[in-house]
Amino acid sequence: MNIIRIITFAFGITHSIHAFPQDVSFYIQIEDPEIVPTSVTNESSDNVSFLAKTTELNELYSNYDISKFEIAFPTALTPSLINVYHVECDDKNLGIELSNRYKEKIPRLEFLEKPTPTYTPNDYSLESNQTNLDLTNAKEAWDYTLGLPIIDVAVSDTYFDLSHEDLSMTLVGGTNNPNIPTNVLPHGTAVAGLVGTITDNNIGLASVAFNSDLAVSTIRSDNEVLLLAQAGYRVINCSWMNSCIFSSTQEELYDEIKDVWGAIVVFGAGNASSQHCGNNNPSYPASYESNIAVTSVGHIKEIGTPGSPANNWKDVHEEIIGDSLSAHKHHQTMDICAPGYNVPTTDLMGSAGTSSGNYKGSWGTSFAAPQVSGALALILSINPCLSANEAVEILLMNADNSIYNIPENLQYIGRIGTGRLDVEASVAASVESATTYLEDMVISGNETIEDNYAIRIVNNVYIPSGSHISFRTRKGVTINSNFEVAAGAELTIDVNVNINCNCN
Amino acid sequence: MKSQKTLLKRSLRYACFICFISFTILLSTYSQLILDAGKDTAFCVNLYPDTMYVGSSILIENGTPPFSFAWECKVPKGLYSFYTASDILNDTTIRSPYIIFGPTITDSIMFYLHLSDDSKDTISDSLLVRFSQCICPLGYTVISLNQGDSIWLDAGVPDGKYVKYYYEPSYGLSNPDSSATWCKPDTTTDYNIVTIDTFGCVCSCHSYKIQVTPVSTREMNENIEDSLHPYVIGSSVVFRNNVGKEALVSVFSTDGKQLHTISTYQDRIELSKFNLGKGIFIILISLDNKRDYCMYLNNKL
Repeated sequence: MNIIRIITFAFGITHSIHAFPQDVSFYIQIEDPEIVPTSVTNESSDNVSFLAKTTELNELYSNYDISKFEIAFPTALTPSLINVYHVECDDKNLGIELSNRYKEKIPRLEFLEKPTPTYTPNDYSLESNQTNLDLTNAKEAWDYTLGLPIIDVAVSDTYFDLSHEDLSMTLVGGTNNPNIPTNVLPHGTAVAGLVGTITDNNIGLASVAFNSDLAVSTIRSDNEVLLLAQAGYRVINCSWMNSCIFSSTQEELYDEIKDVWGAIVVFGAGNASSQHCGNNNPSYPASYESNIAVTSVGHIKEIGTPGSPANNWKDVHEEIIGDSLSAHKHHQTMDICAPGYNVPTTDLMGSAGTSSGNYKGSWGTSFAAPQVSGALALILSINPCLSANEAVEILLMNADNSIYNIPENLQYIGRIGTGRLDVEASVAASVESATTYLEDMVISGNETIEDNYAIRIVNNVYIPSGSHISFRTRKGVTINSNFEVAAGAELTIDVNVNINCNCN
Repeated sequence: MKSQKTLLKRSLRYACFICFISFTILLSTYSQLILDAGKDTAFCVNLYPDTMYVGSSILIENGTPPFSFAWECKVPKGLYSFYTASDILNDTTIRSPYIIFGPTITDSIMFYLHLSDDSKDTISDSLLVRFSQCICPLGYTVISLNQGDSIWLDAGVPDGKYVKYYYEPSYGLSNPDSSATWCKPDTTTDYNIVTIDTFGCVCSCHSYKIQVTPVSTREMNENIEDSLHPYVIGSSVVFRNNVGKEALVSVFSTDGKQLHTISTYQDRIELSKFNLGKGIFIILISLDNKRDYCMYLNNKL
């Protein structure tokens, strides 16, 4: 914990620091369409300008360089998402100003900051090209967090190579029995490698959850998932299914796991195999509302690139274009999709696994799901106080729904989830959920202001004399402009602190 | 004599009395309610499980009908609570209820059946039900082969829980009944690994997708890629030129000697493998004098 204590006796301090980048991006929920500007393209220059319906608004918009102002989630069904716009411009004051002027019509404003520069761990694509991490913007997400070990992630699967050079796993359930068919044996190790290998260790591969420790269990049952949730694991990955038939008792159990124990359970939804209840039908427990059902998209080749026998085009659901049977499961209760065809991951060490080495390519929603689990670990590592529902909302709201604009995906609209996993966007939204913005206010008396990620002093914040104010946060306090601590006031800034919260 | 007769009478009287007592005890023993809830059972559970009845082989002896039944069980639900029979069975008060929930939470349940008759006599027995659930991991391995190539599939030797492994379908397998077999399909085929456990339950999980690239017919278009085609199926190698441009097909021996040259705008170019002879050949295809594609051909005749 780092503490900065500022006690002013004779002089006040005033900061005017522009700490925010010029390119800013935010979500803004606007309930009145009159406020939303229309984009107009200048035919000669191809420049886009934004025109509003009132002079007052036009004056406001003209003060900013706006590059994007459009519906964020055109296919969303949730009422609170329908009127959310994604705005990119040169100054976040546009969002703040809009929000202040039309408070009643703008219930939500969330900033999405782009981190720069991007940090690349030394084992990124070391053993194999990790195009799955490129596609899901995992690298950019690591600028916000490296998956603090405060978030426990559990994996329920077949067998785990506990001595793998690139995995840190603790067996917490079942026995690690190798007496299963040799082609099923590597499954657990491969799944674990996509949640969180030891990253930045110059060995093997990087993975989404970066440095999250993994608890692993070889018991694949509903009760084991409940036990893991009760043990405090907040993200539980299950790359298996156990039924094609809905059960209200089973559904209640998973409701309890999420609502009472605060755990998010991520399931592979199933593959093209006829054994998985059919390609177009739900499978369970994946399809219960409390759980996250994950299906696959490609991630290796650009759209249009020839390939034989598989295409594996980025963001396209079918692995072989035109062959719906090459696509993993798709149906209305799907939540999200992630790379699931030929995804590089860990294999059993040596020649014991599928490949002759320690790493391999893997196919199946088994391997799409753990990337989503890893992303949830990052989201929660930013803000451990998020409830399971809030974390899931962040994950699904920030999935990239532009995949539905791809012609090859048109036949699957609404059946491969809210979009493709976007780790960076999800983590950025989590950052916003854990950041307190202070503006136009006097903070007096004895007060502690705390938030899990950061505190941002936007403008016009004053701490009068005699006040004892404490800012507590993990990442830090950013001062934008006009922050004054009067003489005789005391300001304490604690950073690198974990904020207590009742996560359940 | 008199005393002997009296003694005999008394003895007979005692004997009768003992007989009466014994008969009464026997009667009372025979009328006791007897219950056998059946032998321990194992159910094979798949994704669409058959209805699993408990108590289908209950044996009741003696007692006065009608009988009433009460099924009980206690299955841990996590750390702090339990599922009871009403969560597990469709009806806990009938002779042979069926299981509505359970195999996904535990691999065995001990049921207790309490039976009472019209005379309020009661008796209990237990019944252990085991589940062998087929839970497939949702991943598979993809192996790409050229048509005519084969691959060795080996699931290992069953041990412990399992008694047998094999692959299905049997198409293209040299030893379909074995856990280790050569696999040589002519078309792309999904193979499942099938396991049979000690209960006799069969579980089939998607395991391999063997992607087979045909080698006897080659589509020739702008997107043609360099390929290695070691074996030829059929009597000839056919190239299809659907680009509508001139194709120049040259056949070389491995020492660089040009054996054949065909220049054509035709959409079908056929090389008889009998004309080529046995051996390895290099086939060079130039399309519209712009791009060259190379293929290797192992002609085994």
